[in-house]
Amino acid sequence: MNRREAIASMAILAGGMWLMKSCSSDTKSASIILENYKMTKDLEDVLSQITKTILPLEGHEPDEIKNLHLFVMKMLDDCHRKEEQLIFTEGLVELEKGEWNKRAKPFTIASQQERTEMIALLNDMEDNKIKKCYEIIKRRTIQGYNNSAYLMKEKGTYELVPGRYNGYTNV
Amino acid sequence: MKVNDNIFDAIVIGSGISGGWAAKELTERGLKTLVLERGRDVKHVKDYPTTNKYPFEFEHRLEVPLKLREENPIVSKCYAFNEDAEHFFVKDKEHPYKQEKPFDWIRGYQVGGKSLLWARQTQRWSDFDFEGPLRDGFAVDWPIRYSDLAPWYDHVEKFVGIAGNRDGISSLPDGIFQPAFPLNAVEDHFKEALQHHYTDRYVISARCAHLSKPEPIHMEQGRVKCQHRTLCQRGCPFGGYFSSNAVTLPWAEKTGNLTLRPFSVVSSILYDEETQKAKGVRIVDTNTKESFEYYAKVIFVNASTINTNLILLNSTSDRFPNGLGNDSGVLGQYVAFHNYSTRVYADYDGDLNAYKTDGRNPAGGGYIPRFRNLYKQETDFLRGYATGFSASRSTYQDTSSTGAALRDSLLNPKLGHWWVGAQMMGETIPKKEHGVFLDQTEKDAWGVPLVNISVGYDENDDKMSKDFIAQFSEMYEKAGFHNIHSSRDDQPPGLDIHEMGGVRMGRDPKTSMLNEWNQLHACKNVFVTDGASMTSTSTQNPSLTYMALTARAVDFAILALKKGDI
Repeated sequence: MNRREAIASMAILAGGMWLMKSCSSDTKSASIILENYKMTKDLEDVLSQITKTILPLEGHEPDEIKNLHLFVMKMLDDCHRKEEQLIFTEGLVELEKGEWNKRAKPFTIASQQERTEMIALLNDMEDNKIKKCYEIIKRRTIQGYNNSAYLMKEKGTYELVPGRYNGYTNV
Repeated sequence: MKVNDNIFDAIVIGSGISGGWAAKELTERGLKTLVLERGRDVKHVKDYPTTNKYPFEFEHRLEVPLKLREENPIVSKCYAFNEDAEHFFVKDKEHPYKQEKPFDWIRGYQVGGKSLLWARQTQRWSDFDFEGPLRDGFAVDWPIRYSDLAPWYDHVEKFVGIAGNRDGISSLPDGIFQPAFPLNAVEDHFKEALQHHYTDRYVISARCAHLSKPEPIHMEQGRVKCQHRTLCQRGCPFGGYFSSNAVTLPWAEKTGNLTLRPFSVVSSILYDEETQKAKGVRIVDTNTKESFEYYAKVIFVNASTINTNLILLNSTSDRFPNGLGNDSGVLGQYVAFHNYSTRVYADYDGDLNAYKTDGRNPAGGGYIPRFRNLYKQETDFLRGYATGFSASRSTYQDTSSTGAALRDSLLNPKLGHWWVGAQMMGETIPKKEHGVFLDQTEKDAWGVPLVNISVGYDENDDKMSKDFIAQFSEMYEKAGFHNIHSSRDDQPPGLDIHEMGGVRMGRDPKTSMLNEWNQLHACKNVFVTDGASMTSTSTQNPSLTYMALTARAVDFAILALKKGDI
């Protein structure tokens, strides 16, 4: 846990302080400029932990993969309706509270093992606000990963200039 | 403005696929030609800002942001309207129009027009098409036959560069081709199945305006072989496919006879009551909102089907109170389109699973020429449909898991099964009540009345869609495909981007606007050679025919000028 995450966890432990903080005017805003959607830095950190749990890093990935949550935020900002944005925020706050399952706890203070288990639970969860939020995160995380320079160029999943077509390539 | 710098030999209204051809042919023959384009300039390569970008270089990975989609619900329906090419499409919000009946009008207001965006399918029309109205008793008889156009198809195809096979099919005349892009394993399988089970149904490699083996003329144009990127809608830096921007306009420019004026909305064509000819055009500069007049001996109207109608309707005079050349009263009427609403899909599972595809096919796959009602009327609906047919096999990722398992499955996509899809391209019947007219109250930002569109489907289209589903379901079954299913969108007309008519050709000035040379019956120095001129719609993609009609009409116009006839 890095320093910022530790501080955020403390805030949550201090009886809902963190939630109050997200409503107050001196709340730190997200690390990228968002035009149509407001997100606090605290929620951004939760999001970042979730994306990294849905799609864990191997360690050698470039920053674009380490920061896939920024892509999720960008898409949320520009490509989702107001109602979806609201559900997303409410879902994320609820998700973080960790009261949605007896095996859940606040994401920010959970161990990586616990986070992995929680994501598995979310994956199988019935439809509700939290699930809707989770699904947006998962869909956009996968989209960002599949459409990254890391996959398309480094791993060679996309050719800009194929220069050929063969309709009878042996499998 | 200097004295006389508003006088030209010829004026071409519009720089899209047919306007570009008019410009090329006129300037090559020595006529000082002014090309008017309502949108901005788009120079080949230089003005293709997205052409070499990877998907990850787009902020939203090619997805169109919500605000842009919500502000522009119509153009957002177009398959090519994505983050990489949205800058080449007209936004609904910026250029409103009226819809007496819903019509998805897809437009490209820039130099090159929609030639940057077209699907590049180039099948010739045949006498089954040109004789259709006469045989089946609709619209009016075309004043031309295939033999009138054949040499001009040759002329155009040599210059454009068309990939295709000489298939020897009577309903789809062969042309001058470069090597075709071959069918894949399952497309070939379907082709063979049809040969086995039917006598009249063929799957061919779709003929398309891509260079598969450039000839010296194409190298002279500065183009090279198509690189199979299939990112055509962004503009191609290789000149792999044909567009006005890559080919005809630079060619015209090289003659020294071309003047291109972007940002020029033509509000009307000016009629001279004394000479009984058009003397020029009035334009509005979209930047300054100033009006200018330009004069010429001959005028080609290539503003795209609906805008060509609009310009003629708005060109009124004492002689033509209802629009230029509109003695017959049919101007703006008999507009039709292609019925693209219906598709049939299926899966393939069999020996050909030993194959997959590699690379990308710029032709898009196969093409099945019309087989319905070809030699005689055999169904309870008129005419028929051509079909775009393709098979593909792609990889898929299992995204159901999370964590390391999810990452592994994203990094190791699995090969999926083959599936096939058939897209109906149905001929629709032009009718008097289907057309466009000027709105009586609202005008656009340049003082031109808004156009109101009233075009729709009819019972014939409905029957044809049902037949398409029945026929393809049967053909798929005979080919051993399974999981056969169909879809029929309730989309309004327009997304085919094949609207045609309103200024139709015909033999009789009482029932048509243009004669056999695309010349206004009643105003001899005005020619209309874009989609507006079409008497009927056939089933084939129309752009190649617009180009051939244009080259033929320019040839006629130049002879007529020399003889002093116009």
